[in-house]
Amino acid sequence: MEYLFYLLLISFCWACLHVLNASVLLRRKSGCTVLPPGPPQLPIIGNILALGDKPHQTLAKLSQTYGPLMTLKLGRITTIVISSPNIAKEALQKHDQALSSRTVPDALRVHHKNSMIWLPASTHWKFLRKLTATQMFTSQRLDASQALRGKKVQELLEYVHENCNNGHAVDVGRSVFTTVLNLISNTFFSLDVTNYNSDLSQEFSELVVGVMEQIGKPNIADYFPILRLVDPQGIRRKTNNYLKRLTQIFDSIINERTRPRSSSVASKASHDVLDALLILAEENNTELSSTDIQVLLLVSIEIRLSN
Amino acid sequence: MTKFFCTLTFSSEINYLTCLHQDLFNAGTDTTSSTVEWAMTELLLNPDKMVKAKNELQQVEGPVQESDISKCPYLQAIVKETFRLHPPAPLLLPRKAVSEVEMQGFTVPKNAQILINIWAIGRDPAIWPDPNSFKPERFVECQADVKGRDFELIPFGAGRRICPGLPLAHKMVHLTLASLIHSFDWKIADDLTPEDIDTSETFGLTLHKSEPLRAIPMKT
Repeated sequence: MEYLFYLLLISFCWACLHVLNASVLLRRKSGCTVLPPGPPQLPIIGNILALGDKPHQTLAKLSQTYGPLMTLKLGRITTIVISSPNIAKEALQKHDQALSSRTVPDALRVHHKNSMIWLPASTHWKFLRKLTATQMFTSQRLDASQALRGKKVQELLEYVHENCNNGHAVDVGRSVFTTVLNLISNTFFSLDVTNYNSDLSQEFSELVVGVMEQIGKPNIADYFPILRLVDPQGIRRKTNNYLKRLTQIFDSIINERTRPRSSSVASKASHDVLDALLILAEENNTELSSTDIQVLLLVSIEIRLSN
Repeated sequence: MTKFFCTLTFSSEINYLTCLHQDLFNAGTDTTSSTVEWAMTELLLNPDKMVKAKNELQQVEGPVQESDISKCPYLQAIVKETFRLHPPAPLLLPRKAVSEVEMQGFTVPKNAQILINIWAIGRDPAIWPDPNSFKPERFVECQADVKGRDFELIPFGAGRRICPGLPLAHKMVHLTLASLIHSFDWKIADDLTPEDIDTSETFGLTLHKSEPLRAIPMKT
């Protein structure tokens, strides 16, 4: 009888200890996974409805209540919103590496695999960053293209001047868009993609703006990955259509450029990025430095594409 | 290293260059033109600032060159003030945590999405007195730049993901804006007054002016 009593007592104590222990552990565990504060969440959808159609403004308002570091639950996606310089600094400096990846909008699921903007901080990404840093945006490259920028801005002024003489209004954003478009296309291909009165400029601008708006739109498929199969708002489909059309335009430009080259292979001073690439490609049996190989990589891809 | 690149070269799925073009076109054209459009909008809404900018540019003879920009602190301040009020990417581009991070005593879990609301930072009255007014003067004294070192103004982001096209975009915005102001006087089109100008924003990955700015150029 005594034996049974002690056995019960021991098991009771053991059970108590266990419960106590578990609750302490639980508290300790929950203590280290406390998320930043945030507005109350509805079941399943969380805070999706709170975003509205101007998320930057609604998030700014929410941060006045919940502070500069807050949590929102967007469907299944935990979103941390930072609204102060100090915490932004902590995130982008101290935790730069830990926070170095990107959430890719479902709209770009097809496109992002090769995009420097959306790739995680992988070897591919580092390669592309290095390529842009050493081949495109160095101060020597930019100094060398200064005259080109001057010329393109001069063309903008001529267009504005025409309108000035006729007393016509200018759509400032669209005109500057055309200028930048031609600047970039000249840097790459030495040709203007469009001119100020062309429909193509308008189409380009609409495509690019279209992509930006689609990506920025709150997309239910981003919050519930299972819905990606369905793409319920059609955002991915629309974005793909815009991007497809852009790619078509680019491809036709590159085709146009590669055709005359192949008929007259005569060596020509290197003017633009595509020239540099094409010349390298033609001489690809010479010994190449590692930078050359990087460039050559792009050439071969490009040539394959344009064929 | 060589082997790595060669492997990539012959991988049939990769079309880096096309993507790189597209990235540059997408990221470069829209953001630059939208910044110049907002700057012009603010200058038309604040004619006294336009006069100040024009006066400063009077020292330039002939077409504006990039080398002239360094002599124009007020123009540079206008660009910064435009970035503060109208950052092209108001939430930057979303980052993602690759591992759990402790911040301010809280936990940012792995795979969380991180948004940095630079639009809110740009309009925080604790940082910027009279935050909703367009006052380039505030940047004439303050030396903050936009290159990812001063976190109250990071329109291009910061850290390893900072916009790689920053140096080009920076040159292009200044040169274009300076040239437009230097060569013409401007008035708002369609007989609108500054009060009539619609300054509402359309949200996207980049923030647009909902109604395009139409302005009439006049001989100076």
